[in-house]
Amino acid sequence: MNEAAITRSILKLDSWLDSMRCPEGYGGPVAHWWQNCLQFAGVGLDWRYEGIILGYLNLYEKTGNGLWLDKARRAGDDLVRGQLPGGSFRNSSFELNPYTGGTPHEAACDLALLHLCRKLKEMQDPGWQVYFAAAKNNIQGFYIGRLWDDGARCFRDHPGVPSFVPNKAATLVEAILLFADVSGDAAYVDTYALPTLRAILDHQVRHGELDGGILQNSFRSKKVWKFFPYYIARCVPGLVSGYHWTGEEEYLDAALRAMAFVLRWRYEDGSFPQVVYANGRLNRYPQWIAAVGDVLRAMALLEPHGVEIDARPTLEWLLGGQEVTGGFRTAWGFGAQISQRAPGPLAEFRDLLPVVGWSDKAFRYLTHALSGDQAGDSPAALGVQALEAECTWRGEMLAYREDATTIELRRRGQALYRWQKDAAWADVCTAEMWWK
Amino acid sequence: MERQSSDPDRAFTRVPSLEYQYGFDFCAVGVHRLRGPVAILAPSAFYLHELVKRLEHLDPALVDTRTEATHSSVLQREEKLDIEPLGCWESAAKAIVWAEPESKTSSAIVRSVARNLLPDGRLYIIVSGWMSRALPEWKQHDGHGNRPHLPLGLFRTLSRLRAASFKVEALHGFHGPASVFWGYLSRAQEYLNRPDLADRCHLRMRAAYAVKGWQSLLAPVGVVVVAKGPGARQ
Repeated sequence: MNEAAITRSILKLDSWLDSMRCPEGYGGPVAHWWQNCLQFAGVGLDWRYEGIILGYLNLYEKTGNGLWLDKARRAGDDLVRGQLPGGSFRNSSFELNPYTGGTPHEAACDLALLHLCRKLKEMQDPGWQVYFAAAKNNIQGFYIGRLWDDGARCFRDHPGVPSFVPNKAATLVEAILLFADVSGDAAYVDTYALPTLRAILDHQVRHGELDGGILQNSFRSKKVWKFFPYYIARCVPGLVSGYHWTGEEEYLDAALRAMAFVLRWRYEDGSFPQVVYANGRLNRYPQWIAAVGDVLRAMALLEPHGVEIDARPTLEWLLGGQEVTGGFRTAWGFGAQISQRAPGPLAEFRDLLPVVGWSDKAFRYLTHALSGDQAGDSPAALGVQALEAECTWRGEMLAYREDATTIELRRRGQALYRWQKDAAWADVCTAEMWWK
Repeated sequence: MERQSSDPDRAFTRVPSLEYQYGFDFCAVGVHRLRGPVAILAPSAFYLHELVKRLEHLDPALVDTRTEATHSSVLQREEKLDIEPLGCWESAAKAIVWAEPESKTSSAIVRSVARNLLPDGRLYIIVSGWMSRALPEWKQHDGHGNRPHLPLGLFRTLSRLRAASFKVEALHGFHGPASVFWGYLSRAQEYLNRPDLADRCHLRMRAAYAVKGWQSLLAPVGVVVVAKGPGARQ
C-alpha cells in the first residue's frame, strides 16, 4: 500500500467534502440502486455522517492535529442542531429525502455521535455530553420507542409493518453496544442488542453455495432471498461487536462466513456484483465504487481474527474511482442497471456523480488504513480541481462538469441538470432528468 | 420559525406515494428557481405538510382553500403554522403552488390567483387523476384530511384555467401508462420466480415514471405549469 497515495487521496477527499457543505451540513444529490434523489440536494442528516465523523476522528487519532477534531465536532453539531423533538434527525432518509426516520441512517448517526463522545470523554472535554444526549434521545425515542417489536424481539424497519433488515439492525446493534460502553449502562444490551443479533443470525444461510449469505430482509415474516454483497459486508461490524461484547464464537463465525460469501462473489478487478439471487442469477450492475470502503473496513475488522484476505484488488478498485475533484465515483454500470449488458466505455451520469453518503465510506476506510502522520499538514490546501467528462444519460452522450461550487450536466451547451452546491434544491432539472 | 410537526407520528417517515413525491419535488424545483415570494394553497394537512417541508426556507404564505370556517384553525393547530383563509389572502406571489383543485372552491381560487400572481410568475397545480384512487393516500382514512371533498380532476382544471385566460405551459404526469405496464410485468416475473428479472422490470418502471403531454392525462398524479395570460381575469 502506497502511504503517500493514500494520504493525497484523503486530503483531496477532505477538500471535496468541504465543497459539499451547505450552511447547515453536508448536502448533495444521491444515486442509489433503489431510488435516486437528484432534485432535493440539501443537507441530509443520514449515514453520510458515520463516515465523515469517524474519518475525521481517525485523522485526529493518527495526527493529533486539532483541525481534524474540529471538523468531527462541526459534523456532530450538524446532527445536534438537526435533531427533532422525537429524537429523529431531519432529512435522514438519504435516497428518499427530504424525510425523517431513515434507517439505518439514524443508527449510523448515533454510532458517529457516540464515537465522538467517547473521544471527547477520554480527553475530559465536557462537550461530550451534548453528543451523548443526542444519541441517547434517538436510540430511546426513535428506535426503542417506535421501532422495537417486542413480539418478534428485534427492531422493525417501519413502526407499522413487521419487517426486519439485517444490515440496518447490525448498525443499530453497534450503536447500542457503544452506547453501553460509553454510558457504563448495559441495560439495553440484553433487552435489545443481543436478541437483534439473534435475528440477524436467523437470516444467514448455513449450507450450499449461498453459505454465509445474509438475506436482505424479511417482510411480514416472509424472507426475501436476495443477497447484496455490500449490505452483507455492512453486517460484519455489528456481528464482530457482538462477539467482542459476549465472547460467543457464534457471532464471529457468522461474520467470517458472511465475508467468505462476499469474497466468493468478488471479481478479479476487486469489484462486486450488486445483487445475487437465490436462483443463482445475479444483477451485476451498478457496481459500487466509493461504497466498497465499507467492504474493505469489514475485511480489516476480521484480520485480527486470523483471516488472511487480499484486500489489494478492492483497494485498487476504490482508489481508481477517485476523480480530480477529490470525490469518488459512485459506481460503474448505472447505464446497464436495466439491461444488465456490459456497459460501454463511457460512465453514466450517476456513476460519475459523487455522493457524500457513498464517498464517506471511502473516507472512513482510507483514514483507518493510514498509518503515518502525513495527513496533519495543511488539511484543506488541495482545493477542488474542476472535472469535465463525457458521460451518458438514457443512452445519450452528454457533458458532465463539476467544480467547487456546481455540478452540471449539459447537452450541446444547454444545462439539463444543475445543482449549486450550497442550495437545497437543484437549480435546473429538465424533464428527462426526472428519474427517482 | 420551526415548522416541523411536533407530533411524533407525523415526524416519522410518512413518505407519500412515489407519484406524490414526484409532484411535490417538481413544484419545489420550479418554485426555488423563480426566486420570489411564494404562496401555497392547500385543502388539507397532507398537502400543506409536504409542501411546507420543501419550501419552508422561502417563507411562503399559506392559504387554506377549504370553505369550512373551522378548517383553518384545525390546520393551524395541527401544523403550528400561520395559515390564512382564502378570503383573506392578499399578497403578490411570484410562484403559487395550488394543491388539488376542488369543484366547490376552484372558481374562487382561480380569481384569487389571477389577482395575486405577478405577471412573470408561475402557478404550479398538483392534480390527482382518477387513477389516484388506487394510491394509499386515497384508500386510507388517516385522520389528517388527506382526501379532497370533490376533486376537480385534470380536464376540468385545464378548462377552468383556459376560461380564465391562463396559459398552460406544461403538463407533467407521474406513473404514466408505460411505467404501469412495467410495474405489472415486474410483478409477473416475481410470480414466475424470476426475482432478477422482476427487479429489472421494476427499475424500468422507475425509468419511465415521469411523462409529459397526453400521457399525463392517464397518470394518477399530475402537475400543470401555468403562466398568467394577457387577459387573465380576476
